[in-house]
Amino acid sequence: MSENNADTLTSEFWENIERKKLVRPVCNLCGNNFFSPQVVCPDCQSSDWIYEESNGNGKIYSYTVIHRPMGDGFPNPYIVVDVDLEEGWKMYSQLLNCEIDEISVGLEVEVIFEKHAERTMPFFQPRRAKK
Amino acid sequence: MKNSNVAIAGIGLTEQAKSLQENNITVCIQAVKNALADAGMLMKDIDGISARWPGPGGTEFDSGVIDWSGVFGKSFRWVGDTYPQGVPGVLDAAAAVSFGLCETVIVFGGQAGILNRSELAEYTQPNNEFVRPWGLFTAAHFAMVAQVYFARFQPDRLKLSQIAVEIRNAGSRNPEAVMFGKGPYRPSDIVESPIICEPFHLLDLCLATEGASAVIITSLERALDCPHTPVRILGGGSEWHRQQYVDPARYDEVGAIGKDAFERAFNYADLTVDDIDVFEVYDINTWEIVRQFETLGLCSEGDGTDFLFENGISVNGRYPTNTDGGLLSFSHTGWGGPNLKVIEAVRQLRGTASGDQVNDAETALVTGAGSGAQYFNAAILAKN
Ligand SMILES: [Zn+2]
Repeated sequence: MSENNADTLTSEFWENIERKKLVRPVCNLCGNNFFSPQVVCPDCQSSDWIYEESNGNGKIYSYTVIHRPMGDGFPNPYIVVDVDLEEGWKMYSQLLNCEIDEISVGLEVEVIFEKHAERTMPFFQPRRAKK
Repeated sequence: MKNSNVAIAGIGLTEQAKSLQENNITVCIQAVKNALADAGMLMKDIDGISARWPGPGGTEFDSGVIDWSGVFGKSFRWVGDTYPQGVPGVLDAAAAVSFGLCETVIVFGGQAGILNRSELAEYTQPNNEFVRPWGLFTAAHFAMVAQVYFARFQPDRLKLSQIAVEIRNAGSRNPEAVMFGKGPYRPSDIVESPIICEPFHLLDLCLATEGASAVIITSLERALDCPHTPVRILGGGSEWHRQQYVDPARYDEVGAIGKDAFERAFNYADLTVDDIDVFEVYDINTWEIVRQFETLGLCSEGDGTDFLFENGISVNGRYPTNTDGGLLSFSHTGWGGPNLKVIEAVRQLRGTASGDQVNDAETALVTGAGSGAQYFNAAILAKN
């Protein structure tokens, strides 16, 4: 999807993010969770899917620490992550509130919502035991 | 070598540089002229063209796409619009020629007059709402795949750096390479260069440069009339996993991308990897070379760094690789960059390399794309 499609296929995703809810498409026919949003479910090609809220918990599948700011207001360095969400879907994001030497493949993370470039975005941070 | 009725009859290269004073069209035309001269042909001999193309019948002008029939003021019997060029362009052209859709195809691509205006090549940056906001760029997509491999197998960093050293030093010796005269490099230079995106340092990563290149493909029969010894296209294969740089590229999905393409290419060519004399493989970063040799089955998953360190990848090694300096040091010209692998393979097989030359090279493996791009392609070329 290009940003030109943002007002159709993915507008509901971003509306939820604005309300600090992380959602993902879930297929009504086969139960598949998928991301990014597609016109049809990639498993069964049904267009009958809805956005459902995620618990926002996951693990880092992979990450990279980037030492080359792109001029988008990111800190230097910044950490890009590919997160496996508990419901069985995945997305790219950035990891915040984390020391560089604390990151590893498999690290448990949780979603947080922060403003970036004047819109709310879903970031992740290490999931720490609640006191 | 039964399936070899198609051959490369000409190659053309322009100056390669960090930036050129030309534009995308003029630099490509120069490469086309050079290839025609190399093949002893004129534009009227060309009836197939593979370049980024909306063409007659198409209306969508994506960035970098040009109506080449208008530029050359002629019509064609066959057009290919492979993105990018290189192996997919050559294989599609070979199929078109062998099926009689046309006689002679020119595959070309390149860029000029753009890199001095923006640091990152826009073509690799889909304007995607789930990628761009996180600050991903091409090297970062590849890094995300490599990090999982590094976590699992922990390759020796200095041995891995030796791969970049050998390729970069080949470029240092090659007068046509953008990085000619730089270096020589030692493994410590690689790991001491600035880290860009873990696990990759600056000197692990390919260039972004300007220039153009062109390849002429025709029947073996026609190629035998041309000035240079034909280089036959013996086989090839491609894997298209996903659109590049949109959704996460994952090691568990694309770590072995190329395995099927290699198998099909070698089967069709009736050769094995042990028959290959020179490897012109896609070195978008140092680790991607390791991944490809593991995928070729020459060593097991996780052992590629040690394997290449012990066997050697310079012209004096067991597996001469990226003899011109590769994308790391020779040049990488955007969507036309993959052609450079084909051109260096042809030069090695002709014995006319501008830099290091493998003695009596008869067969070459050429590859394109890679894990982070989520597609891959390979071709086997041989001296007639
Ligand atoms: Zn479904």
